[in-house]
Amino acid sequence: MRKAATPLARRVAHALLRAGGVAAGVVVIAFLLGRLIPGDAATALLGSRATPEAVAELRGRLGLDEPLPVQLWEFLTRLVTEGDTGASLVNDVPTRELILARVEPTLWLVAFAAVFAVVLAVPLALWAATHRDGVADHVVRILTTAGIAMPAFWTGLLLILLFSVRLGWFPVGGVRDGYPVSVVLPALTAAFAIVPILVRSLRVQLVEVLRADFVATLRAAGLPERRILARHVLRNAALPALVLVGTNISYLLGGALIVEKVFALPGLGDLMFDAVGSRDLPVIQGVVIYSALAVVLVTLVTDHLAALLDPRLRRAA
Amino acid sequence: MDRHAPRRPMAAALLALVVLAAGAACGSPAGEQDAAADSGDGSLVFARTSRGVTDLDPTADELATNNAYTLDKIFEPLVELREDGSIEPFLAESYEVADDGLSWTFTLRDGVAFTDGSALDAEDVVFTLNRHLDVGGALPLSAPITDVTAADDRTVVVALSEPYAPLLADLATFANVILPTDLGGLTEEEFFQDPVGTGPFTVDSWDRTTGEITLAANDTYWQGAPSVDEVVFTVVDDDNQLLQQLQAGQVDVIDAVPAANVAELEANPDVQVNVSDSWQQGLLAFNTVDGAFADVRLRRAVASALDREAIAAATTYDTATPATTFLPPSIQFSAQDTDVLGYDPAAARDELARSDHPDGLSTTLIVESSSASQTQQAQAIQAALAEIGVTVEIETLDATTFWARFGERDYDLAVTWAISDTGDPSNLVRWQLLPDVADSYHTGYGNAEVIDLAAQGVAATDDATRADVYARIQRIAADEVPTVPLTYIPTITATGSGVEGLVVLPNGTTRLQDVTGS
Repeated sequence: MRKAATPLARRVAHALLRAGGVAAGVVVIAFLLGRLIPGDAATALLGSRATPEAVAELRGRLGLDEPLPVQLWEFLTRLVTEGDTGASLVNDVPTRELILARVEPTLWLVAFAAVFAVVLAVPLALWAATHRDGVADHVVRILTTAGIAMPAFWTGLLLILLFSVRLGWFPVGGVRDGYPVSVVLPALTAAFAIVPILVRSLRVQLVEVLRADFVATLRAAGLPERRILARHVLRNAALPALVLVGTNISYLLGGALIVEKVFALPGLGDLMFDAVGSRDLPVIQGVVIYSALAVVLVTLVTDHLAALLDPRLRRAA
Repeated sequence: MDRHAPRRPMAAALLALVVLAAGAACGSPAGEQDAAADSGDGSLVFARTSRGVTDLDPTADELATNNAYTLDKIFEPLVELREDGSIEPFLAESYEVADDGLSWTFTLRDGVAFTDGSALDAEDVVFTLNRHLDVGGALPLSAPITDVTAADDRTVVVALSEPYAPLLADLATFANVILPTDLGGLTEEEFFQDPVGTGPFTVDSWDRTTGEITLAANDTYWQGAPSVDEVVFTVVDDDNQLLQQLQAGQVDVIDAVPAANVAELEANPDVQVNVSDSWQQGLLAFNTVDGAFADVRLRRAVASALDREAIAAATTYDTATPATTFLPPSIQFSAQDTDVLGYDPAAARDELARSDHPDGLSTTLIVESSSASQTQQAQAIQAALAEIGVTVEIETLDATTFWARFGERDYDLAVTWAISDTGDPSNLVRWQLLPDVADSYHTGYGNAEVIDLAAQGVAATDDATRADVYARIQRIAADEVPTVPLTYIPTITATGSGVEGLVVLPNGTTRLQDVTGS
C-alpha cells in the first residue's frame, strides 16, 4: 500500500514541530541560565568603583531590580514582537544589531572550517580505508588520535607562531586584514578539532561500502580500482559524510568560541564570552537563542537534504 | 529524474569550496601588504585589553578604563597631569588662589578652540563644572564648591565653602575635561556620539558593536597637529594575541604587558618596553567587620607573616616594587619611612598567640582568575600563612563574581588591586579608609581619628601640615592594617619598531600627540 500522499512534507512538518519545541526550551533556559551566575551587570560594569549607591542606581537604570516574573514577561513580549532580546546593558546597542555585526567572522570561520575539514578528512579516510590494517591505516589512526589530543588554543598558537610570526603569511589575529585571509588559520584550527572524528566515521563508511557486493561485482567486471573508488565507493559514502559534516557544524559553532578567543576574531563567540564576563543578559540570551536556532536549522536542512539526495532515505521514511 | 543527477551538484559545490579555500590561501600575500601599508601611513594602531569603548561621557556612571583613556584624547582639562605626577596649567594658562583659600581664579589660554571652530571661553568652564556637580558620575566632584562664575570671557572664579587642597588634582582628572556650553545645543546622546572637544584628536569612526574606535588628528589643535594622522583603538583581550600582534607589527602600541612577558619583549630588538610609575597597587584586603579578621591582632599576624619583597619579586617577575604604606611613592605625601609591619615570623606567631585564635584558624581568600600575578600572590600568601598555622582555602573567581562578592563584603581575605584617581593622597584615603565612600574599599574599616584627619588633610592649605596629617594617617593604617599593601605596580607599555614619543602618565593613560614613526 502507498504511504501518505506527501511523506516528505509531513516529515518536514514533524521536524519543524520538534525544532519548535527545542527552540522554546532553549528560550526558557537562556532566560534562567543567565540568572544562575553570581554577580550582575551593575557590579560587572562598576568593578572596583562599586559604591553601594552606584550599584543600586545602576541596577535601577538597567531594570535589574524588577521582580523575576516581570522581567520574564518583558523578555518574552520583546522576543515575540521584536525578535530581539533587548539592548546590551554594556553599550546600549540592540542585541540583534550586535549579533548581525558580529556574525560575519563566525560565518567565515565555520564555512572555511567545514571546507578544510572535508578537504582534509576525505583523502585521509580514503587512504586509510583502502589500506585497511596496513601501515597507512595505522598512520592515519595515530595522526587522528594525536589530533584529538591537541587542544584548539595550542594548535592555534603553533599555527600563529609558524605562519604569522615566522613566515608572515597570515595576520596574527583580528579581522583588520579582511576576509578570507583573516580566517584561514582560525578555520584550520577549528577544522583540526573535527577532522579526527570525520576521518574515523568516514573510514568506517568507506570500509563498509568497499565490502559491499556491488563492489565485488564491479571488480569482477574488470573495472579499474580507481574508477570503482571514484565513481561508486565515494558516491555511496558521500551522503553519510554530508550528514556527519552537518552534525559537526554545531560542534564547530561551539568550538568557534575558543578559536575566536585564540585569534581575537570579533565574532559571536567573542561577543558571548564578553557578555558572560559582564553579565550582559540580553546579549547572552540573544546569542544563545539565535545560535541554537541556527544549529536546529542546519540539522533540519542536512537531514532533509540527505533525504532529497538519496532516494533510499526518502523511501525509508 | 536521473538517478545520478543529484550527486553532481554536490561534487560541483565541493569543488567550488575547494577553489574558494585555495583562493583564500593565495589571498594572504595581499593581506600582508595591506598590513604593511597600514603601519606606514601615519595610522597608529593601539591595542588594549578588556572592553571596547562604550561611552565618551566623562561623567558617566561607569568610567571604564578604556572609555577614560579615549575621551582624554578628545577633551582636555584646565590643568594637566604630567608624567612626573605634577600638575601644570593647561587650558587655564594660570591660576591664583585667594589667601583664605576660598576662591580660585583661573585665566584661560587665548586661542584655544573646539573642533567645531568655536573659541573656548569662561562660559564653557562654568557649564562643565556645574554639569559635573549636577550629574556626579563615577568620579564626583567632591570639592566643597558653592559657585562657579565667569568674571569675563577668559576668567573663571570657583568659590568654595572651605579651603580644599586637592582642587587642582581633582580638576586634572578625566571627569573634569571641558565641554562646550550646552553641548553645542545637542542632546547628551547626540553630543557624545560625535563629541566636540579642544583635544588633539576627534572621533573619526566608532563601531559600537565591537567598541573599536578610530580617532583622527585635529589639524587645528592649539599645540599643533599631532604627528600621526589617526589612532585606531582596538581591543585584543588575550595576552598571547596582544604580544604576537605587536611582535608581528600588526599593532603599534599595547598598554597592558603581562609581567611574565616583559623579559621576552625586552629581548626583541624590534620592540620597546616602557615601564613607568603609576598610582596602582596590589593589596590584600581584610573583612574587618564580620569574621575572624575583625580582630586587629590577627590582621597584624598576617601582615608580619608576609615577605612582601619575595612576593613582589616572584609574582611580578621583578616588575613591581614591594609596597610599604597604602600610598604609593608616586602619590604626594607618601611616607615611605612609615613603620609598617615587616616580615617577621616570630612577631606573627606572637600576634596570633594573643589573638582570638591563638591556635590558628581556617579561612578563605578570594581572588580574580584573570590576573596571573594576583593568583600567584594568593598562593604565596596561602603558603606563608600555613607557616603560622592559618589554613587558607583559595577561591578563584571570574571578575564579575569577584567584584560582586568583594563589594558586598562577602569574603574573609581578598587579593586585589586599587588605583588612585589623582596624585593627591586624599583620593586613596577617601576610597580606602573612609567608611561612607566605598565602605573603606569594602573592608568595612572605620576609625574616628582617621575620619577626622582626612577632613583636616583636605582643608589644610600648607604642605607641611598636610605632610604631617597624611604621615599620621599612614601610621594608623600601618598599625591597624585594614589592608596589607603588597606591590606598587608600574604601567608597562610596549611599542613596535620605530614608534617614538609615547608618554605614559601615572594614572595609566597615554599622551599620543607627539608619537611618531608608526
